Amino acid sequence: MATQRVVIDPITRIEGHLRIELETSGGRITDAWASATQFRGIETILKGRDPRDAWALAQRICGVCTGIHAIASVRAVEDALDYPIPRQAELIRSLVTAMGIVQDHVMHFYHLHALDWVDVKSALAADPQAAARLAASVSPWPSNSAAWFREVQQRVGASVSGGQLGIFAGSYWGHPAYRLPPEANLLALAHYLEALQWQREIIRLHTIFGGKNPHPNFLVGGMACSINLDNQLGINAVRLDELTGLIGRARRFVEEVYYPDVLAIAGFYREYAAIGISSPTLMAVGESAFSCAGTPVAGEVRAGVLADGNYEELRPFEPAKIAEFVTSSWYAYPEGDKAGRHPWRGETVPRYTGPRPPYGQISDNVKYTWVKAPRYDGRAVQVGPNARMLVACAQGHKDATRLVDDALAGLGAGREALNSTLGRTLCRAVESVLLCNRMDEWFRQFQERIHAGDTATFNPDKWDPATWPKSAQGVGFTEAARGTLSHWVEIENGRITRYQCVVPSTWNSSGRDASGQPGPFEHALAHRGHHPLLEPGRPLEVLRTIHSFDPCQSCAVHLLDPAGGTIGTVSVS
Amino acid sequence: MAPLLDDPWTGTESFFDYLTRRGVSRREFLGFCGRLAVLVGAGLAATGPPAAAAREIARRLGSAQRPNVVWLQLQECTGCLESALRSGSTPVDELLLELISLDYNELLMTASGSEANSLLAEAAQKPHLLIVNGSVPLKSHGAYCTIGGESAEAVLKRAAQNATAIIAVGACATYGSIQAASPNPTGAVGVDDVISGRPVVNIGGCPPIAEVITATIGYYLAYGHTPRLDDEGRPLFAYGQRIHDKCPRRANFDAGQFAERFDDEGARKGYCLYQLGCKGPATFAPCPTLEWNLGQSFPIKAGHPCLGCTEEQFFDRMTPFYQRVPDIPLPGIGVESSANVLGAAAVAASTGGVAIHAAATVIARQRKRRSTPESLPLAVLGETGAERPTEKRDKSG
Amino acid sequence: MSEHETPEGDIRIELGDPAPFAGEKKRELLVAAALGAPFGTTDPADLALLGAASRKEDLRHYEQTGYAPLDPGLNYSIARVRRAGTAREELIARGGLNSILYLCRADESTRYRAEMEAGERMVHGFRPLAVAHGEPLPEGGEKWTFLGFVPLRATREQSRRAEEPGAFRYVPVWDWQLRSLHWLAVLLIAVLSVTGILMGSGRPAYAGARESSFLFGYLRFIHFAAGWLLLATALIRIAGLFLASNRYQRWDALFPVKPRDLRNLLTVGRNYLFCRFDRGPHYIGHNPLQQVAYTAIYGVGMLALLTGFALYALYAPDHWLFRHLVRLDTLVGVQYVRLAHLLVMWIFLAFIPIHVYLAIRADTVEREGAISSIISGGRWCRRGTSFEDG
Repeated sequence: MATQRVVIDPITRIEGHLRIELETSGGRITDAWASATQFRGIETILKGRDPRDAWALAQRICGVCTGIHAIASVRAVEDALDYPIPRQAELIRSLVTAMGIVQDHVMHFYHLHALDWVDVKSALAADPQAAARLAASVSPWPSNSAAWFREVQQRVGASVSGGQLGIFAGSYWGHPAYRLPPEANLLALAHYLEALQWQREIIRLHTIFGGKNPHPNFLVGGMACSINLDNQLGINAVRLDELTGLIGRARRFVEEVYYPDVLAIAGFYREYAAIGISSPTLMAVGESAFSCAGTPVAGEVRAGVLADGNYEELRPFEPAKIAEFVTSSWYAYPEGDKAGRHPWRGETVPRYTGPRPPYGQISDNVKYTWVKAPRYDGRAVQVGPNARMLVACAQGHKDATRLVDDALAGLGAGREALNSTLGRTLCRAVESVLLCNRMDEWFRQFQERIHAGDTATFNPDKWDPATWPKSAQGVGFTEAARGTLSHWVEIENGRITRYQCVVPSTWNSSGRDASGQPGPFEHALAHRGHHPLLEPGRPLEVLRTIHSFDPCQSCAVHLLDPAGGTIGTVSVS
Repeated sequence: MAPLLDDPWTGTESFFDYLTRRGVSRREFLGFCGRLAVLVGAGLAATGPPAAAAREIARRLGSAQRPNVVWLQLQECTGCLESALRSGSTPVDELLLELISLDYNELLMTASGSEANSLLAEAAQKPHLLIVNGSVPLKSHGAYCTIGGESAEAVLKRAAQNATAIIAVGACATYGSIQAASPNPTGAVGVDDVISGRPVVNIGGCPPIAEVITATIGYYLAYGHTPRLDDEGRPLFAYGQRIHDKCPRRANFDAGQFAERFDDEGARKGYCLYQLGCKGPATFAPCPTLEWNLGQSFPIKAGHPCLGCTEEQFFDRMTPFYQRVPDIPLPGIGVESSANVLGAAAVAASTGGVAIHAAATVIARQRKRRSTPESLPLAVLGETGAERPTEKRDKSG
Repeated sequence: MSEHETPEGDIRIELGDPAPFAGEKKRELLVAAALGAPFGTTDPADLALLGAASRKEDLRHYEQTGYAPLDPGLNYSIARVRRAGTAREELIARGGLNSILYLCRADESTRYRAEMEAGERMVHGFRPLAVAHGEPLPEGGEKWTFLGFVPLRATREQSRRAEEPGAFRYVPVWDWQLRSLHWLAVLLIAVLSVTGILMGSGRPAYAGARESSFLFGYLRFIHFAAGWLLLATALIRIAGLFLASNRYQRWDALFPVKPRDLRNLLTVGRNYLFCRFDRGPHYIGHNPLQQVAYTAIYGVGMLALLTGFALYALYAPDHWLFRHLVRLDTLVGVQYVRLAHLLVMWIFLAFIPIHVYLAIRADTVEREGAISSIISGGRWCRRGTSFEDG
C-alpha cells in the first residue's frame, strides 16, 4: 500500500505552535515527527538580571500553565540562596498551583480536547429530555436540565445557522471516529459552555493570593499577600470566606461534571486505552502541585521513575541522569549532535538549519524542531498526569490507587492502560478529584495555622542581596499540570549567569535523540504502526492522541544559556 | 443540520431582530449592552447616563453586521487569550456564539492542519476584524515562529490585508514584550512595526485585563470605529490614567505610610508599596478600577507591587521590579550602586575635595610666605648671569 | 643687568636688617650703602637701597663727584661723594664682604665677627653687600673704615596682590534681578532637594504618619510648587539672556568659546589645580572655568526641570502640553527618568560645596569679589589690573 505523507500544521487547541508530520499507510500511521515551530529565547533574556525578578520573566514562558513557571523559578532561586520560606507561603503556593492545575485540566478537557470526541452537529440534533435523563444517571449536577440543554442547542444552533460557523468551522463533523450518542454530545457541549463560566470563577483564588490571573504574582522568600484578619486589604475574613467558596465550587464541578463526563465519554472510546501507547518510561517528582527547592525529597508522593514498562517497580529519581540532546533540534553543541548534556552543563546556541519559510516539509531534515530532547538515563520519558498516577500507585498511595482502580474498573482495563490516549485523559480527571481533596486539606491547615497565630508569609532574612553568597546554584522542581518541571539557575554577584528550564512538554514533544529514539509524541503516533488514521485529510485520531498529552509548546521550547563553560558531558550511546 | 441552516442571519434584518427571533430576549440583549456601556463609559460619557448609553449601543449593535474575526496567535504564551476567556463583561461564550464569528483562532477552533489553513485563507479574503496576540520575530527569515510552514510575519501580513481594523492584544503584540526584552534574541517586534500605514489599537498588558479586551472589541462592533486612543494606540477608557491615581493604597502614599519590606507591619496594615518598587505611579492601566477576574482584586490590592506590565518594554525599563529606581552599574568593576549611594559619595567627594583644596591653599600660602625663592644675581656684588649656576641657589629652603 | 634678561617689573629686591660695624648706626650704614650707588642708576638693588635710605635721610644733600664701577678683579666699586655745602669728599666702597674687608685691612676680630654674622644672617638667598667708608689722606691714598654690610636679595617673585594694600574701584556686575533669581533658585533647589529626598527615601520622616496626616501629600505639593517656581525663574533667566543690557548676563557670556577664552580656561584650571593665586587672567564677570561650570549647571537645571516635569506629566498624559513630556517617559522608561532626576539632584548637591568654596575663596584669597558681587551686585576691582572682560 502506498505510503502517504501528511503534514498537520498548525495543531490547534493547544498552547503554542506545534507541527506534526506523518507517514501513513492503510489507515495506520507508520512514522511521525513532532516539530515545535516557535522559539523565544527567554533563558538568554534572563541572563544578567536580578534573580528576584526571574520569576516574572520565567512565568511568561506560558500563560496557560501560568504560575507554575514562576513557582519553579522562585524555588530554584530559594535553593540557590538557601532561603527557607514560611510554611504558610508554601501552603499558599500549593493552593495556587493546585487550583491552576484543576482549572487547566478542566479547560483542557472541555475546550481543547472535547471536540476530538464530541460531535457538535450531532449534539444539535439531540433530544434535550433524553440528554437530561442521561445526565441524571451519571451526576447530581443541578443545572443538567432539559431546559438548559435546549437553550444550549438553540444558542449554538443560532450561532452556526447563518453559515458563520465560527470556531466550529472546518470541524470533522460526521467523521466515523465520532462515537458518542447525540445526548452525550449535547451533555458535553453544554458543559463546554458551563466550564467557560466556571473557570473564570474559580481561578479567582489566584487573584486573591497573586493579584491577577493569568500571570499571578509570586515572591522569592514567600508570598506578598500578607495575612491580617483585621485589615480590609490582604487575606482577611472575607478572603477566607471567598476561598472556601471557590475551593468548594471547584470541587463540586470536578466531582459532578468533569469526572463523570470523562468516565462517560471514555466508556464510548475504550479502544483508545490501547491507542497512543507512548514511551514506556514515566517519571514524576511528586504529587501534582508539589514543589520544592532543590532535589525532591519525600513528600505525600515520593519522586520516582518507572522504567521500560514496569509500572510496579519504582526507581529513585536521580536528577544527574538527565541529559538533553540536540540531535533533531535547531541548536548546536560544540562537541556535535551525538552527546547529551546535563542542564548544569547545558551549552547551546540556536542554529536554524531548516528550510527558509514558507516550507512544505521539514521532517526530511535531521533537525526539524525547536524542542530539545531530554532523556533520563538514556530513555525517552513520559511526564504528566498518567506518570504521576502510576508513580503514586506504584508506591501504594491510597487515595490515588483507589481512584485509579475505580476509574479503570469502569473501563475494564489494567493500569498499563494509563499509558494510552485515553489513559492520559482519564488521569487528568482522576488527578483533579485528588487535587480537590488536597486543596481542602491544605486550606484546612492554612486556616488552622492562622488560628494558631502563624501569619507570616514572607521571610526577610535573605531578601537583601548583600546576604547572598558570591556565587550560587539552585534548582526548583515542581509538578505542573503537564508533568515534571524544573528550573535551574546560577547566580554570581547577585545576577543570573545561567538559567535553564526543563519543561514537561520538552520531555513529551521532543524529537529523536542521538540513538534515533523518538520522543513520546512521536512514539505514541508511530508505535508499532498501530495508530489509526482513517482520513489523512481529517486527522481526528491524531489530534486525540496529541491532545491527550495537553501539549504546551511555548513551554517546551527553550534555550540554554550559551555562555556556560564546558564542564563535561553526559554521553549516552 | 438542515433545519438550522435554513434560517441564516444574512444581514437583511438587524442583528437584534435576528437574536430575538432566535430566542434571545430584549432584556438579555440590553443587559449585555449595559455591561458594555459601563466598561466603555469613558468613551460614551458624552451620550448621557449609562442606561442611555446601553440603549445607544443596543441600537447600533442591533443594526450592525455580525463580523468575522480572525484572532491570530503568533510568538506568545497564550496568556492574553486565556485572559480574554475570563471576561466578566462579555462572557466568552457570548462573544463566540452571539457577538462575533471567530473564523480562525488556534486555541479555540476545531479544525487543524490544512483545514485550519484554508479557513484562514478564506477568512482573510473577506472583510474582518483582526485581533493579534503575540509578537513577530524577524530574525532568521522568521524561522523563530512559523504556522503552517509560513513565518508569523507572512501570516500576519496576509491576515491584515483585508482587515477592517487591527487590534493588537497584549504586550507581545504591542511591542514584543518578553521576547523583545534585551537582548531580543529572535528580533521580536509588535504588530504595528510590521503593519505600517494603518492604525493599530494596542491593548497593553501582560496580559491585559479580560474586560478591556472584550470591551474594545465590543466598542468596535457597536460603533464601527475604535475607541479614543492615547499616543501609544491604547484606548483611553482603560489606559488614560495611572494605577497610582486610583490606587486603594493612595491614601497611605499621601500620608507617608509605607511597607518597608514584604509582610512587615506596614504591609499587613495595607500601607503603600511604593518603597518596595511598586510601578503604579508610572503605569497606565485600569487595574484598580476594573480589577482582575470578575473584579476580585489586583496585584497591589493583593500585596504585590505593580510590575508596570502595560508599559512598553517593561521587562527592561521597569526592572529591577523591587526597586523604585534602578541601580547604576559601574563599568569595569561589576559593582552596582544605587543612585543615592553614588550621589552621596559625589557630595562627599566634592566636599572633601573642597576641604583638601582649601587646606592646600592655606599651606601653599604659608609656604610661599616662608619659602625662599631663587635669588638672582646682584650686579652690585659683581655677579652676572653667567655665574648663575647652582651655588647661588638657596640651600636652606 | 641686561644680561639677566629679567623684565624689570618682575625683579623684587629685599633688604635685610643692616649689620653696622665700627660703631655706626644702621641708618648711617644704609645711607652709605645708598650713596655708594652710581648716579642715575637703574640697577634694582641700587634703587631699593636709594628708596630705603631716602626715607631715612634726604639724599639730595649729597652729590656724587666720581664713580669707579665695580672691578671684577677687586670686586668692589667706589663712589666719590661730597656733602652739599662742604668741599670735603668722601669715598664709599661697596662690594663683596671679603673684598671690602680686605680693602679695609680689617683686623682679625672684625673679620671674624663679620664673617660669622654674615654666615648667620645670609640665609634664604640673602647676600651681604659690604660697605666701607674711605677718607682720602693728605699724604695720598685712602683710609678705609669697614661700615658693615646690608643683606640683599633679588628674586623674580611677583607682587603679592592679595596682601598688598592697593587702590580699588567699585564696579557693578550683577543687577538685582539676576541676584534675586540666583537666591530664589538657591532656596528652591534646597526645598526641592529636601522634599525630594524625603519623598524618595526619607523613611524615618514618616514615623507616626497617620492616614489622615497627608504628610507625603504636602511634601509632594511643596515639591511641585517649588518645581513650578523654579521653572518660572528659569524662564525669566532665559528671557534675561536676551533682554539684559548687562553684558555679563547676556547669552553670549554663557559660552566662553573664543580662543583667548579657551587659553585662559586652561590657565585658570592650572591655577586652581596647583593652588596658585595672585595670577591672571583677571575677569570682572566669570572667568572661563567658572562660566563653563555655571553654564553646565544651567544645563543640569534644565535637565532637572525636564525630568521633573516629565514625571509630573504622568498625572495628565492627555494634556495638550504634558503629552509631549510623557513621550520622554515612554522613550526611556519612567524609572530611568526618575533615576536621572535623582542624579540631577545629587549633581546640584555636589556642585554646591565647590561653588560656595570657590566663591568665598575668590573674595578672601584672590580678592576677586565673587561672593560680594552676588550679594551687593558689584565688586571692588584693583586699579591697574587689566581685566580680560573689562
